Amino acid sequence: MMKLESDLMRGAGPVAVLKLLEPGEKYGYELVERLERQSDGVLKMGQSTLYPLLYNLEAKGWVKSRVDDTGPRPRRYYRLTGKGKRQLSKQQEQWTELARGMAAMGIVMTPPLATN
Amino acid sequence: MGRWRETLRTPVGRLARGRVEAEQALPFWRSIPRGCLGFWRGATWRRLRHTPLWDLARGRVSGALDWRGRIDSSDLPEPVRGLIHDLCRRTRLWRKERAAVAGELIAHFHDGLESGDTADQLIERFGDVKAAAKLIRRAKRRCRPIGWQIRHRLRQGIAVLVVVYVLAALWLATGKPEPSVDYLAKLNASVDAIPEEDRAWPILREAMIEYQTWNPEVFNAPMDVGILPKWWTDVAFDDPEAGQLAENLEAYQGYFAELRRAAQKPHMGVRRVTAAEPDPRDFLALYGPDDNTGPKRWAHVEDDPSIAGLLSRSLSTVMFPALGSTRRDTRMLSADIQAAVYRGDAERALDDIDTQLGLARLTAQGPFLVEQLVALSSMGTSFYNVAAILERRPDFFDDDQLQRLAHTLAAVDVNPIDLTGERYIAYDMFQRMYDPDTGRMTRDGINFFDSLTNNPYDEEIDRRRWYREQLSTIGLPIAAAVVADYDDMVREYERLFGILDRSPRRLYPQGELPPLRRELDSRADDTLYGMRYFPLLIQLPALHAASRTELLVGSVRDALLLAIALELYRRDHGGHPDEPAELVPRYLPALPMDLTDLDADGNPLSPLRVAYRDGSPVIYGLGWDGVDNGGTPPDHHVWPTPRSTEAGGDWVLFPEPRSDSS
Repeated sequence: MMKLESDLMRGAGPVAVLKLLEPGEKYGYELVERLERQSDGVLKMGQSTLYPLLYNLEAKGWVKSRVDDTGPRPRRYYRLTGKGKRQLSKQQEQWTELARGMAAMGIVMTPPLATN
Repeated sequence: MGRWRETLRTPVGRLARGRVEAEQALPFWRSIPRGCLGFWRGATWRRLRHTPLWDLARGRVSGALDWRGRIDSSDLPEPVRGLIHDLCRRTRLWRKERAAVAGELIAHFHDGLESGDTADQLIERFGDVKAAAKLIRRAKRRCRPIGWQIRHRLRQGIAVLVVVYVLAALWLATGKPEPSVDYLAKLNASVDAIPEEDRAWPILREAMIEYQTWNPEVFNAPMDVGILPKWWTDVAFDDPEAGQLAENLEAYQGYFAELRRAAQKPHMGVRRVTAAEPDPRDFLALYGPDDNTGPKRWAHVEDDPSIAGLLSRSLSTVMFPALGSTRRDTRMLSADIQAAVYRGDAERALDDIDTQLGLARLTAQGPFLVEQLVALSSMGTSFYNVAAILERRPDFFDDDQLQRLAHTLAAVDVNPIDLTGERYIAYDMFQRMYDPDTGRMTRDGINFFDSLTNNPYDEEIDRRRWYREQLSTIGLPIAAAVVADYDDMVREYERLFGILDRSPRRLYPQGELPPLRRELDSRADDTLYGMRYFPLLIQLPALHAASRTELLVGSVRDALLLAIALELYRRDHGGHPDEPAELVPRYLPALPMDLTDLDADGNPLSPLRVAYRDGSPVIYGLGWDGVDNGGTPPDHHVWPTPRSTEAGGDWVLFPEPRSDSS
């Protein structure tokens, strides 16, 4: 599967992570796995890239984290904030418009992948 | 990894066995067994050291900040632990942040191992540790508190400013003034064209050398108590001290003869030179053969080629060899006039007055304001002598002598002020301060200006010069930002000079200021303006006062001509005229005007008035109050300046008002 160029990934990565967090909170490794699986490997990112991305989203106030000490080992979970939800909605619209425009231009040949 | 770093990271136990095998990403001290460092490496102390104060305050020794300990006790395979450790170390974050990152990555790798991946696969999929550390550091710092963010931005801003400032200072320090116009040569061109036999200065200079004017012990020896035992006005003509003075002055008649010879020459003929390049003969006349301060002083300047280059041929350091001698000789001739009156020698007194006014005329030929002001001062002294004789000894001169005196006074140019030299000084200063390409202030320019206010030939100041020069480099960007650039400076100079040029030539009453003074006063509270145009504000204020001096000296001269005319009329008619107008045209071409009685445009309205007191004339103007008080001056009269409107009284020009007339 072809990987996205870093410029494209820089735009798509955050919205993809926000989308994954939409149903509920998730931890780092889980997000890495789902990103790869759900995007059919298109949005597969180096694991070292995910954590800075999460910290950036947290700095912007789009996600919030908590440490769960109840399991066998402490684990940090991330969830969407209200601001993050609004941002996700806004970005979804923009990506949809972009995809439509790209399709109209004949650049996008296949419909966007469905979310699992 | 270099051999030495590998050695440092090899545990002590392995080193003891002669093996150099570094533990990945572990510093040397981490490999020392716990027992070796005792308590310091002990678990309790370690937890204590890594416990946040907040936890300690609550009685908990959590060790929450011990990110290394957390990694070490994570049960992850060694390569994975090394990776996490290396990453956390590279982030250079706060301990608390590193602990959080370490905890998250430990969980991440545990999850990966549990999902069936091997340690090597996980490490490979993790990516570049160095890049990850950089990204994590950047992202985590964005999560820090707003106070830290502000401080951080401030620090960054200051750092950027410092860098920009230093770069600007370095860039500006490359600027060099390159004087292109030799104003000194311009001034000397006209002097060089004067034939030697028409020059007064060589005669004066040789007389100074012959009579050793630089040496008070020799030159003042004939006097009991210095050149002038008392000021001329304090000694009455029949005072015994005047007799003593006359005797003492006999020793100087040879010197006075040289002064008289010089005063007859049409030109002073002084070549302009700077202090760094003096004419040896001039130097000898001023300081004598044994003075060694001059050449020593120059050596310090020669050590600094940039400043020496700027000072060399700078009009700001031009010497005035004839200036001091004019002052001294005018005073000595005043004493000789007094001696001549004591001895009843009118011809000698006339010669002395002629000589004083001749020296003043020669000095006034100098292109600089200071020379013209000294010349005016000498004229004023000479007029003062004439006024005293006319007042106290009206019969001292015969008719012929009085007429000769009148012609001498009338021939004096009482308006010698010519500001061409001042403009040259300003433009010469500018070309020595600014870089001609950028028009910006330069480091050498600041040092040059500094040297004008701090004698560059002074050894003590010379020692501190290095520090001042470094300061000028550091302060250069500020100076360049605050002080006007070349074009702006010249524009403002011409604007202010234009105000001076357009100003009407008139006296101003106290409280009413001339236009240039008004303009400068209106900027007095504007600190930025003062800093922006500081070289102008040092030079210009002196200029607007110059024409006032001319007008006052001229008015005294005119009053003296009127007084002589009155005396001649009295001798011819046996009494003074009823009206001064009767003097015109036989005794005077026209009556001199009263410069305190002016119309709205500053033009004089009426001539000077004459009143008689004890049969002697009093010549006066109305004064600023515009009231004719019959020649009565106000209290505290400072001759010949008219007093304020409030002071009242008349502007008495002849005789000098005094409470105790001799």
